[in-house]
Amino acid sequence: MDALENFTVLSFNHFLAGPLAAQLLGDMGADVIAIEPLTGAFQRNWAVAGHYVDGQSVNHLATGRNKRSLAIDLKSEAGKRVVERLIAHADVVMENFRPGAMAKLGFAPERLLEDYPTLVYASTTGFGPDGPYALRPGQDLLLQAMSGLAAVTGQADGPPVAVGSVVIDQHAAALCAMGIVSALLRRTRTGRGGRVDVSLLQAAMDLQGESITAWLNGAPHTASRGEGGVPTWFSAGGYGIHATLDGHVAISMTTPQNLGRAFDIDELLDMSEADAFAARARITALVAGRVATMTNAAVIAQLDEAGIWNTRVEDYDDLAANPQVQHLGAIRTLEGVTGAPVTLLSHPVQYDGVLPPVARVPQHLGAQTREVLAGVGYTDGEIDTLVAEGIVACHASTSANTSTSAPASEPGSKPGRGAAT
Amino acid sequence: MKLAMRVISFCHYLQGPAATQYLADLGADVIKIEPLGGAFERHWSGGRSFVNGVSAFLLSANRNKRSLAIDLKHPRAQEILFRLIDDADVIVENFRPGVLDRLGFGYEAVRARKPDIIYASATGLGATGPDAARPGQDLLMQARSGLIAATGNRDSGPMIVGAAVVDQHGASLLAMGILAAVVRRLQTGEGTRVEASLLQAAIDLQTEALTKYNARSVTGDVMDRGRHIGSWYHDAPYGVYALQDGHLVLSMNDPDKLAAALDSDELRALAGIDRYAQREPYAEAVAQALAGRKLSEASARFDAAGIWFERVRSYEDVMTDPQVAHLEGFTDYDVHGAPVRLVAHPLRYDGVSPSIHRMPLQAGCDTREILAGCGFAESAIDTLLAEGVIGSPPDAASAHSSPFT
Repeated sequence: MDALENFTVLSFNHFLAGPLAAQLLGDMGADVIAIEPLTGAFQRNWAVAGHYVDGQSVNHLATGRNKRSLAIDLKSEAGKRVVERLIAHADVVMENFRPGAMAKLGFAPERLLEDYPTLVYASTTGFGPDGPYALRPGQDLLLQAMSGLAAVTGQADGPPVAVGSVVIDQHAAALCAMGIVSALLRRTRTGRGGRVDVSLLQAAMDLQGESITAWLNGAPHTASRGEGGVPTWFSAGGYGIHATLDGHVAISMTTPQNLGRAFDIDELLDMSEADAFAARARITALVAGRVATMTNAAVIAQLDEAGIWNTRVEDYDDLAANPQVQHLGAIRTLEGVTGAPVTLLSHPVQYDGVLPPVARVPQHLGAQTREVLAGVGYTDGEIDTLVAEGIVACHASTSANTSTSAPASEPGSKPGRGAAT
Repeated sequence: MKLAMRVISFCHYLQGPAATQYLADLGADVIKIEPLGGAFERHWSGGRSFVNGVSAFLLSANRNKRSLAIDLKHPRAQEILFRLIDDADVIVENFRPGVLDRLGFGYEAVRARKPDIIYASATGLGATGPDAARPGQDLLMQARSGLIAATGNRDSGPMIVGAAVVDQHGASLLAMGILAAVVRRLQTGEGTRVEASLLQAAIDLQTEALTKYNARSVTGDVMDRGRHIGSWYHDAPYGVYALQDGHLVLSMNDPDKLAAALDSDELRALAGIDRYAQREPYAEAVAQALAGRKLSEASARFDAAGIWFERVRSYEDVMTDPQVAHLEGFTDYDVHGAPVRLVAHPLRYDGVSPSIHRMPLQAGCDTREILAGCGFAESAIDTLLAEGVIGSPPDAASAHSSPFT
């Protein structure tokens, strides 16, 4: 996907949502330059569950594909001058610091947009650039709690449940990429850049748009979570996952009569479609009771026979083995920069029948410092001085006069960008 | 934000409509193509939520669009719709693979007529492959992608996520891909076939978790965890804790700070342990230190100590949240005299959130205006209506101002 190949993106991002958004832009062809502290961005040096692959944080692996890395001391005056020159050559500046942090570094968005009117400046924050919570920590779990997502997950007779992956960061990233591409699109027509603001709080609400809209507009409810075994407050009877003798099966939207036919339950056959919601606890109890005595295979066979949408509840091991996932190429194992194999998810959208390649696996810190600086006109001598003074850092594999294109591990993927093109 | 482009939306349910709603919010002229009886989402609403007969499900994903009601199987539908397609930049559809091909509006047919079309399809599990024909619906893809297996704990068993998060995330990815293709066309003149699936949206939603999982040579057993722990891969205390008058979550936190905030000797004693390997005893100790306290008391202590925590809030709480109000996270709109409250477009452009400028409350309410806009005479429209090719509610003529014609 070459859609964004003429655009340069400076990514002052850390943690998850910002780096993920930059990665989506990199997938679509943008030249994404990760601007990192000399010690590396947070996600290189921290990994939940403390896990590293051959020294590389899995958080970095999850967010680092299709980017170049530049390591620089942002707090030094010389470093700031280098960054200013990079910004002058960039189309997009994106960051997910807390509000005000870029201004403290001398890169206030207002100033940048005035000095560079074609620039697109995108911020991802926890709660927006201002307002009463602007300075609170914005982390996925906190936003799950604040947005109602934890409250609507679980059972009414049990506690709220946290979603078992960081879905809000991920959704915010997609929204941020969408907003940046919109702003670039507008710029191609008007010549004007502008500002895009994304908050985890609104991403969390957007992720529940259907459910929140129903709730706010008169849907009958007595609790945030499903009662009497019904999986959510808005589900009709039977919808949800049910334990079988050897696993769980998910049953999608259907009618009580269809469920009655599928499982030979007379009481359901007598129900009307209107009972699907009104009698949801009873329907759920009947279906759950029957399914609990059957195997997954038997349940699925009877649901398929009745034309009821269903699937087995699978875990991450099943996913990797899932033939449809393999067909889509959604998970790929590639050679990482250290030579050790790394398993990455693919960009999730196909363009002209192909998923964008991993043109660059997640890179070492500062692997492209030299080529990025050369690209905006620094001479080798100037770069050597910046390195010697500790303003920027290059990865050990990159020596003077060598343009580094780190392993591009996929056949057919486009070559890495060379220096000074 | 006012993107000048026309989008023909052959979409129903949620992923497709929500994707085209993002585009409509951004200023695209989105024409929602519906059957004469109206799209599925007009007749069904989760939680049975209707406002003056209008489905909240429709309201959640169809603002800022125009509606054209047409019998896609009628022999004249092709001629009418291709006149619209001639002026369009993008087609978006989320039928099952092959359905629009049979109706004559498949990718090849459209591209033959309009080579630079951006043609976007959202399917459940992909357009091809062993399971391409299987139904793709949010719950099923939650189950299929491991999201349910990764949610819940030993006490609760696997849990479904209580909102259609896969559909909504899939919608944002589809909109993103479409916009990128429009950028590409502006530069190269070429169209693009954009394809998204709910299955990959569900996988993408778990990028961090799956990357970690795949890096570890672990098995599904790693999901097993005690009742407080919020994910299989975070250190304790990450998770949900019960207090006397509600629940709160604790994010990643420094154990010394947490012990001091709760003035707990037991937590002080545990501060040095490996809070991943021994997360259950640590989480239980945190739960004990919190049990019996009031939210207000715990919140005051945590705020003072800089602990990352948040109260578990209901949708009512969200509605009255001052930060949500500050962000204008909700937009009120009038539906036949009744106020409805909608979740606003989530982004700001130059500090401004896109507003609602129209809402297709009835199927076909813009049929006349749309067809007039591509050159059909009023008498020709009347004839098509009389023959049952298109639909238009009787009061449609006065139903909308018309910013696009």
